[in-house]
Amino acid sequence: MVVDALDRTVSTVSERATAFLLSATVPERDGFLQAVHPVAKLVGLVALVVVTVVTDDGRALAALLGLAVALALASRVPVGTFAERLALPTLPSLLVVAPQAVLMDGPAMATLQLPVAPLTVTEPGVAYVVAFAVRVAACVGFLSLLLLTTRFAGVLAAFRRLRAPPLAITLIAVTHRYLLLFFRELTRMTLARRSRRFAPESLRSSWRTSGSFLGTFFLRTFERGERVQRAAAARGGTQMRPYARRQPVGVADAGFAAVVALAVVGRVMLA
Amino acid sequence: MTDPVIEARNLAYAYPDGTAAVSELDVSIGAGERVAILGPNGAGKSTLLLLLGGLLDPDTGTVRFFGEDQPADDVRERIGVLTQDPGEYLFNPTVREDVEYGPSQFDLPKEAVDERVSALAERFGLTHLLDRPPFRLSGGEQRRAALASVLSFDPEVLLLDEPLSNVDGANRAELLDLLDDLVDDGVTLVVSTPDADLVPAVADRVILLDREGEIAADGPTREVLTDVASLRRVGLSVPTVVDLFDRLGVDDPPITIDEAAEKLDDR
Repeated sequence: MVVDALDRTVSTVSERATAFLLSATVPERDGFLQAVHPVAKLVGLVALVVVTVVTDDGRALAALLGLAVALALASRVPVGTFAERLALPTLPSLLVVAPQAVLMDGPAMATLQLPVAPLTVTEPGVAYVVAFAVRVAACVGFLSLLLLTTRFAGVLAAFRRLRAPPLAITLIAVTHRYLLLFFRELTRMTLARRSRRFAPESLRSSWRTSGSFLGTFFLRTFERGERVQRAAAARGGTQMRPYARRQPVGVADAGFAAVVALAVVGRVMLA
Repeated sequence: MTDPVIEARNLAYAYPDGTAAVSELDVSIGAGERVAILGPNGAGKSTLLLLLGGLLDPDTGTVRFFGEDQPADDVRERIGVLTQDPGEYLFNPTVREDVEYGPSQFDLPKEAVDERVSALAERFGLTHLLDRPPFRLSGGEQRRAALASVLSFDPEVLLLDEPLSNVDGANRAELLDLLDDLVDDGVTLVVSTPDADLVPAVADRVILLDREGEIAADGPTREVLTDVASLRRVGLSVPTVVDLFDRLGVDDPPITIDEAAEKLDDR
């Protein structure tokens, strides 16, 4: 059934997206990064991302990816969840950059005999593609660790502590809230439709019903968004209050600072 | 018990964020039964209904429908699931399109579908609302429209999530009569609710869930509702009538107002 396959796909995507945006259990686990102050964690992980971005050496990049994995394990992040988050942006970026394996000049590794013309895979090309993919994976890994091990309110509080522009923080907070709303509404509507969809539908008919479904979905999301806005206004608008939680600096912070410092110093020495 | 229409074994489900909703549940619903899933807020009642209706895939366990291992989508027209928020259930641009969504999938002439929609609209007082967008209706109107939609394709099993919340007294009595008529017609009824007072009107059997999403009791309505300790343990209010007679120290307390009146008359 066309519509049912569509509904199931939409439901799955919505569920995954919601889980991505709303990590409720991992931040509560007794892990290494969970014990690190959100500000220290934000600064440290961003520093590691910068180090990764400016690194070209393949072995150093592999070590940084290894560091991300080690931090994930020490923070008791489920392996499947972490791998999924790494793979999601890495695989498409690998596809985008893959042509470089044949476009870059250098010693040949292999030649593919295609009907049109032979394609030569070069050593620098492959090294570039691998380094690119590892770099993406490491960067995504570090940023995922921030989101997986910190409650979203904690991330916002860290931005505030670091004096990020209030408008930017509000935009991040509202976008997060509305994305959750969007996906929840989508999940509910597809669920309702699945519960009453039992006859096969032609492709033409499915396009018609999907169009009408989409229209209703946007109207409903708009209505719900208005209700959320009214609820926010009833409690003083969308001005965010300072995040009051105090977390003393401790051993975990010192340990994490040492790891970050080691990575930065290592990169400088490599240069 | 009559032949099971839904049999769930070892059901467990956790939300995408990792929070456990229900764990290791065994539930069997017989044909023609009236069952209430009773539990406090957050006990997993809504999730259990969606699992029993085959709209959620369990993390572990299996659900069999009508005695066979078959996908829920193959029996979708035989099972009506009404979600807790009626606004969520109505996904078409107008009430008319929503009510006709079910019957229009059968091989019926347009006139027959229109006739069915009109009859349901009249029965639920929706005639003047048929061309309105569902999300513009009041809570009570949405509830009536959602019930009309779920009944529009004559399901054999009805799974209703808190069907009487947000319904005023007059409409409540009418809806209860309607549910009775459906059961008389052989429909299997499963209703979830946190309201123990409502249960005697909708169920002969109660599955009591605790806050951990586990079954705390499963038995005849009278037996479960008069077990005051169990109800309190799971965090539910005892039915008002039961509470009153329990405080008076009466053995075998009544569970409905009618029974209470009879008991007082006898005294």
